[in-house]
Amino acid sequence: MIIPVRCWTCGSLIADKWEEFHERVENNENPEKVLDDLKVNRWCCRRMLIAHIDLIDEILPFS
Amino acid sequence: MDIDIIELLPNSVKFILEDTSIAFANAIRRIAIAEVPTLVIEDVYVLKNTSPLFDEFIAQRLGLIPLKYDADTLELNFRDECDCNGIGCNLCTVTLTISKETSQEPAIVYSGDLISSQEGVEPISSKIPIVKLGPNQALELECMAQLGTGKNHAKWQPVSAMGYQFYPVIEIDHEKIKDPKKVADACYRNVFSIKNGKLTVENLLNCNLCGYCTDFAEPGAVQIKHDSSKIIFSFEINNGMPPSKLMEKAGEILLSRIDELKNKLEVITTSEEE
Repeated sequence: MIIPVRCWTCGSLIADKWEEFHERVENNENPEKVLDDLKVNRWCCRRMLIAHIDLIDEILPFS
Repeated sequence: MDIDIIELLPNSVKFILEDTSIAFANAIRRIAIAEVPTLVIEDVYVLKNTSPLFDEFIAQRLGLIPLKYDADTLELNFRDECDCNGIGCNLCTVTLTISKETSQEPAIVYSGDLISSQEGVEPISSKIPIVKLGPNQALELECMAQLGTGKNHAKWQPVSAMGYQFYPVIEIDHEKIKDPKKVADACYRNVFSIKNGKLTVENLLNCNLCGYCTDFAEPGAVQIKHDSSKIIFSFEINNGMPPSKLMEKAGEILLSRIDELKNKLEVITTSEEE
């Protein structure tokens, strides 16, 4: 759907890092490096960004 | 008690507490998680929502946004302890509003679109996506932020990943070890290195006392012990408060609890004497 605001496990903020992460990974950067750059250190937070699929555009017409 | 800081970043800290006990570290940890007050959106009035997400969905996302709030410059009351009897007034509530409309192009509503009624109160980051609006959709909300503590809801928790471990003590018997390289390679946290053919401890603080390396050494050759009077403490801050400030607050709350207990015990003992 849309990126969760906080990590489900530890509660730290991740939503503000999604756009940069997504853009850089789309440009064929290594996700591991991008996550390190964004200082997402724990694997609970890393999986939030890695495993997320943005589906908000699919439901956009249904207001 | 001594504090030795290993790493201090704007939103996280790692330090060693010396001459202390695990009970004290746990008291600090529990208070920091559950009792230090923070400011977060609690009530949302939806005036207009034609976005693809439900009202409740948006309200939940707004509630999770950490808000910057400095307790020294802005004194707020807990709503149930305020003079307004829980109705909500300037002394216990901060209002934030969003109003965004799209014409032909879709747009994302960010936390930066929240307009605060109080100076100094704003979302910690302006880049948190709240909802995406399609063509000709609108969102108009009024949010009431109030003080709360982590014991009521995790959204008020000022810290994440707060934890501690004992200080590691690694004892190596060089005569017993036949293959030092095997032991060094076994450690997945790179604690050991090999110098002059001998197994040496390189990064002691990386050790998390798992004891996996002892499976690769001869019995008794490598012993992983801990010093229970030394504790490695680490945590990360969610709401922009400096880490030292959080520890200070947790300490204040702990002291006030102890004072409360002491006063109550004094009342009991004096009444028994009478």
